[in-house]
Amino acid sequence: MSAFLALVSASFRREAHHRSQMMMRIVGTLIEILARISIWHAVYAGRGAVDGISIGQMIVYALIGGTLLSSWDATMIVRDIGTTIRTGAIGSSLLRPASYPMMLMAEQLGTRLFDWLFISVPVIVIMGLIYGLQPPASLPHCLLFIGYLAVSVVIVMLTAMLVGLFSFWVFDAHSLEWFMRGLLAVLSGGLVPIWFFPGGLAEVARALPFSWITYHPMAVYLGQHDLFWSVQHLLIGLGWVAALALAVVVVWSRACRQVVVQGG
Amino acid sequence: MAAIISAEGVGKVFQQRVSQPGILGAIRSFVAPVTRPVHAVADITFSIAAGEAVGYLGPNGAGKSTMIKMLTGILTPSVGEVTVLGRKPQQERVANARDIGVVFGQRTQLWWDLPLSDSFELHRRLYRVPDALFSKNRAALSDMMELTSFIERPVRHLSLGQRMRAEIAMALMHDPKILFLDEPTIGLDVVAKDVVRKFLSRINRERGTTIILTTHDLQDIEEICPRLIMVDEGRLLFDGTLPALRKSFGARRRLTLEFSGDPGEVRLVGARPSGGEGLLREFLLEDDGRSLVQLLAALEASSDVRDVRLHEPSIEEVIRTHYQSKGSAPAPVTGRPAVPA
Repeated sequence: MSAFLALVSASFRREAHHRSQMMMRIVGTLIEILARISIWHAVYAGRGAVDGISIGQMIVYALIGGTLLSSWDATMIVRDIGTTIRTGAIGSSLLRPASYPMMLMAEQLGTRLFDWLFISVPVIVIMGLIYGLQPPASLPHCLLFIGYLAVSVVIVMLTAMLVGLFSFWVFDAHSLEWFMRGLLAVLSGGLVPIWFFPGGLAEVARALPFSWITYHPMAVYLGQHDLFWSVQHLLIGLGWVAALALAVVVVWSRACRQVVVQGG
Repeated sequence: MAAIISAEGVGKVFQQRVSQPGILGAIRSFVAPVTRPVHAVADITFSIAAGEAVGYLGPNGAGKSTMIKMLTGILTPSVGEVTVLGRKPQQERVANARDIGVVFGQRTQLWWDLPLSDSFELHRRLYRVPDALFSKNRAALSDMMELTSFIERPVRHLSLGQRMRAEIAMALMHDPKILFLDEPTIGLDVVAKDVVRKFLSRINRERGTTIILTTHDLQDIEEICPRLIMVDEGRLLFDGTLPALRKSFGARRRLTLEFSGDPGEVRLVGARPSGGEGLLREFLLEDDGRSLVQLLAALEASSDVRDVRLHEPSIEEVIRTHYQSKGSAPAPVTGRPAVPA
């Protein structure tokens, strides 16, 4: 555990050294969120609510769903894993006395925490001051939301690791990256909330683990479900975490036998 | 002494994709890729005892790094068996990693953007080094490798020489029983090379750390490793000491004599004239262990000797001799039994 935390903290501090990037990323995220909010303004066209969802709720959805709960990092993780495998840098990780998926998880967690603190939070504050930020439905909903947030980040990482590990078999990770990016953008509910999906697709999307990335946490935040439902689905989310973690472990142990470190 | 590292009939085959010409070829190799087996390591057997320092020598592409990767648990051998400290490194990668130290000259294990001390701290936690041992090692190694002046600087600001010293120091922080180094002196200047070599042989002597290093710099071997294993194209060519290598690959000592007057015909028993004109004469000496005094006593010449030079063949020459005769591929030569009985 000490090693895990040390890795989290090291990758956090590493991010802090890329300060010049930080400003650009804040600006980039601001523009993206602005675009999303503008789209929802256009869609609502002055109406107070669509399907029982108010414009104020949609703005929070776009703001928090596009920052804290974004599935975007998955792409970066897949790219990172692909690069380490292609260049053989994975060898350096394998020399350390720790499980590779755990090390990967720790490093990504450090990066993610840094992004939350120094990119997501400033963006939420700035946009919140402009457009107003609707608070969580209630205190229990808020506490549950924090649980959902943790489940969201872990599901993003595990999904990305699962896809990334396929780089061991498919040497070029780019194809995988595109596939996953499209899949997650739609099925996480990050682009359009699942409650606007057509019937059948909505049912499927709600059941898949990806909806725990953006959609379910935001639905809980906005108080779309009662507390019993919210707790129940938090547990289901944890179930998905366990299932994905198991999948990563299995794929990793298969990948281990496949290791072909380049060079030498 | 018991072997702590052993390789028995080890081979590693990579499947390399063969690219086919033209668009049709590209499509064909996409649908059904044609692969060609590449034997990076073939049928290698050796064993290394605790406390030895062994140079693993060979030209580029000889399979040196592949062997190191198999010994450190990154790669699994295709055939045969490697054992390190009684374990199979790939199956018990984590346990193996705790007992060994590894330095890859061309790949850093330090955290690029963070101060060097952060990498050391992370290493301490990953390897679960007890605090007392860590402070002792950190102080001793920083002192020996002169890291103190830049230990708080980010790694990316360090020179290659400083970085390599830091890499080696870090690999020793957890008191590994074995230290693997893959081309540790590559790209270093003469002074830095010298520091690294002196340090490694000191570590081997004082701490009894077993050292295995790959290199194609022969001086590394001369200064650090009494024993060397030579490979080429994945195969074992030689396993033994340096003098034994010279002997078995037939590189001779060369004697240059300078005379005060025209020596006329010069004769030396057990030596072959190999050139020289005017006042100079050169001989290639049989490997019979005669001293310089004995040689001079056996000299028959009509003039006095003014100056004498004796050249020991460098490993470079020894290996060049080998490569020049490679057409007639000799069987592996062993200067000592590969597996101690």
